[in-house]
Amino acid sequence: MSRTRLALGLLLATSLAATALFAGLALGVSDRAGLLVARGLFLATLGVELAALGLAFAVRARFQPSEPNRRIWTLFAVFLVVRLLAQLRLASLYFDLVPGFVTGSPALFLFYTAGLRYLYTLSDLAFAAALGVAIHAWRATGLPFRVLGRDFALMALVGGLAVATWALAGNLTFLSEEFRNVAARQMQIFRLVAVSLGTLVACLCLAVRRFAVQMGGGALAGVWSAVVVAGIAHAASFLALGALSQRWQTGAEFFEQLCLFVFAASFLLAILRQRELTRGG
Amino acid sequence: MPESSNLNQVIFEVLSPLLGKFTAQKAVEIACQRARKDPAELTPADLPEVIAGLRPMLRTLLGEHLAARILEDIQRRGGPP
Repeated sequence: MSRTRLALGLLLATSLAATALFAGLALGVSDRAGLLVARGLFLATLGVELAALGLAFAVRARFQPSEPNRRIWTLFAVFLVVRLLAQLRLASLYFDLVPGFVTGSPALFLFYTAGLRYLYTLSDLAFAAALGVAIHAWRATGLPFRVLGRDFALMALVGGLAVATWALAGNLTFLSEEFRNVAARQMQIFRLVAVSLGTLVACLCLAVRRFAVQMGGGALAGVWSAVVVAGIAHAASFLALGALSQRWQTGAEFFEQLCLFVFAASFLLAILRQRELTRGG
Repeated sequence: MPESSNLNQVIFEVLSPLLGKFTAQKAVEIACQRARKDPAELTPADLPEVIAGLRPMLRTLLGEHLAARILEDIQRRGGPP
């Protein structure tokens, strides 16, 4: 069994085990117990993203500076670095590890909680740019890659889902009362930006998916199909959060995290496949 | 895959596991355009033209190192016996 298949099996098993454990604890014991599973999955996602980051740099190093693949994998590496910083910030908030000098200053703490969440936005921009460079480079080869009418219809559907999510996300605020108005406004703006970028990434992924289908199989299509799954799972995380949060906050957090775990796992799989491709030929 | 010469088949067989069967087939057509021949007419003498035609596309899709390895493979398998 190849390392890629082993990794895929492990990541699938982790997703299923986490879902079963969450269902058992959240429904059978308490929401708090379910939340622990969601936080455990968050840590697992962090581990997968860390592994992906190291491997992405190794893949990037295999390409010459003048090659389009170098630009693509540089942007993927930037995406992972910035995203990891954003995730570490979130981990510090989840597990009460925010440095004392930050909690001691209201202005700094506000920047830490509200400002630094835009690291996710920056990372998503790098992801979208990588997809854009890939699409441009492939079309420049002269091969007949093209987006079809049904892809545009699907993109319109994704856009509609994003609007629905945005509407559903209006009641997500669960911060303390004294920060409520300012924080709620800031969260609304962040979500608008995040959902818009997530939609852009999902639409670019749909174009890449079409190109992968037009290849008719092969190792390269395998790499990019995994990237597409990652991008779609990333966008789906907003939908899960928006759709569930009004009724079941713990469930919303778990299913958002599950989507993000699938995203991280798929991205790791794409990197492993690319590494096998460039090694083996 | 059109009826073809040995070189045509070699290119398809080398490229399809990496780039997929449709891309491999199209790559054969691009190589033929470069050599100004039909796929069935390709001969080992056309190899320099074929390789020059495939190189930019393979470099973009797979990277310089892998493209060089693949083109060597095509040259070895499709060249004169």
